[in-house]
Amino acid sequence: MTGTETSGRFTARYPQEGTGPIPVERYTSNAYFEQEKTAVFRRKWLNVGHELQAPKPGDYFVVQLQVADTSILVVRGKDGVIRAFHNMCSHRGAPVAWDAQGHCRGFLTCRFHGWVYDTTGKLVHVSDAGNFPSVRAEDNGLAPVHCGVWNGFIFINLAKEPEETLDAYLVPVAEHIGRYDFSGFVPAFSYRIDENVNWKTLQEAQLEGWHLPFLHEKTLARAVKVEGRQYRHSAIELHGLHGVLGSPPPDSFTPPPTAMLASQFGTGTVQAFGTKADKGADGYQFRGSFDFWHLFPNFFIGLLDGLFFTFNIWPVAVDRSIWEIKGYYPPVSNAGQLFAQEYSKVGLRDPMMEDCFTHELMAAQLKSGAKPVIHFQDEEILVRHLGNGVDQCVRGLA
Amino acid sequence: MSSPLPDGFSDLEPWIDWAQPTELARNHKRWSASMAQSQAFYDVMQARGADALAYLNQFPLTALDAPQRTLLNMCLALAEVAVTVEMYGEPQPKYVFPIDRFVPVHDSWPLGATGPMMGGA
Repeated sequence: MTGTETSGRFTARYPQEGTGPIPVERYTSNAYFEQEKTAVFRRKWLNVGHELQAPKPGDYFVVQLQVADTSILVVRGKDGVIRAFHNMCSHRGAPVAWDAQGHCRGFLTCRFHGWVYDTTGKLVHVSDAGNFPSVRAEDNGLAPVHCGVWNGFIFINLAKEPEETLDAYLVPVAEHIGRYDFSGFVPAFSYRIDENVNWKTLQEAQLEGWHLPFLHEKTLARAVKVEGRQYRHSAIELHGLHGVLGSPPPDSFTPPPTAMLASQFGTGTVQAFGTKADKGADGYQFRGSFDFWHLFPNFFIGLLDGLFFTFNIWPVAVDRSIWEIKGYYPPVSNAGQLFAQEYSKVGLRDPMMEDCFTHELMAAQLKSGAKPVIHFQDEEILVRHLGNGVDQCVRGLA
Repeated sequence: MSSPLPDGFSDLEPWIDWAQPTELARNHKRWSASMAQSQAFYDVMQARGADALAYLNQFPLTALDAPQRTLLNMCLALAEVAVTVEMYGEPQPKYVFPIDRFVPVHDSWPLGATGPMMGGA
């Protein structure tokens, strides 16, 4: 499969995706963005983090969801169960948790007037209760949000009643991604970027590898080096609204000296980028040297041999988005392992900073109205797939 | 006055300003250095990095003293300067988003910790 010169292979396999131009309006129209908020973000299951962000009972974290005009509190209960709530005191609407993450001893107290909730969201103390004769504690717990955990990944659904369960939502990909052995990893890095760009433009560079030989000529290109032919993904698969890219292993790869030094001491990029790993018949089936899974609408899981990372892309406005990047590696216990991890991390970070450089420039130019449409080729079918999925939601078809 | 680096690594003292404690600071150092400074630091760390890491590996990451931390930070700076030397061939490449807006949230995590620090616990 690697390196075939076939053109149009994915379009032939997925004719429903079409080949036509894409309206720029999808990236610039406030009206379209408002429809996305309702038809996508208030209906679909959304990843908000990983269980490792709240490993112990009483641990919590807060996710700002401007796209739904709310802030979500994710807390691990004394019973070990992860739950999600709107982060809002029933008294007058102040946040219950004021920090981005923290730990409580089974109770969260509003800092405004001291109302207290337990980790199941129950209101257990009303300050000056005698002066609130009409407030019944049992009717005034934290407002719950549908929440589920899959392979450690925490998802929420903002619908009053979700149209499908989390398991049903993940059916198209669960059997594939679920083969990856997610055990033994710990959070190793986290970046946050606030960008003036539409949330789909932000995602699109992560939905195709074809730009690697161009935009990342100095950095990542060596990891996908192809001599004298067009870049071809080792695989692209669409799975329902979701999908995956396989990155083609390079024809040849000469690790630079620092990569060799890092690989002496720990998990490095040499192992990860050089070849397509074979995890056996029952293990995860790598499509390429690294695989990018996209979970509709805004979540990525990048799977490499020995590490994985995630992207959450949160719309703020039609022309503003937050990119959250989180990396997970095996635990580091000594300096050599930390150095290897640092080298690997920087090797992933700098290409993403190159991606970022393009986002705001593109977003600004798309607003000009100079062009009514943009174009995607066969190797960009996963980009097209995202836009098609969103558009189907907006039109009530998905 | 005590030595800023562990015994046996005093030869690295001329480059000690590369020993910055956070990714943000190490990246700033990388971007503010000249190509000649970057190449010199890169060369010395290529020669001495394996020795430094082998030495530091004798100790738990969470138990390093100040000179050992300084040496570790110099090793971590190699991960940054390697991009200048091995990839871009220049310290201030064009068309790269600034790290001041590409915020390394993990810079506030304690060394050797796994993930964000939880209060209380």
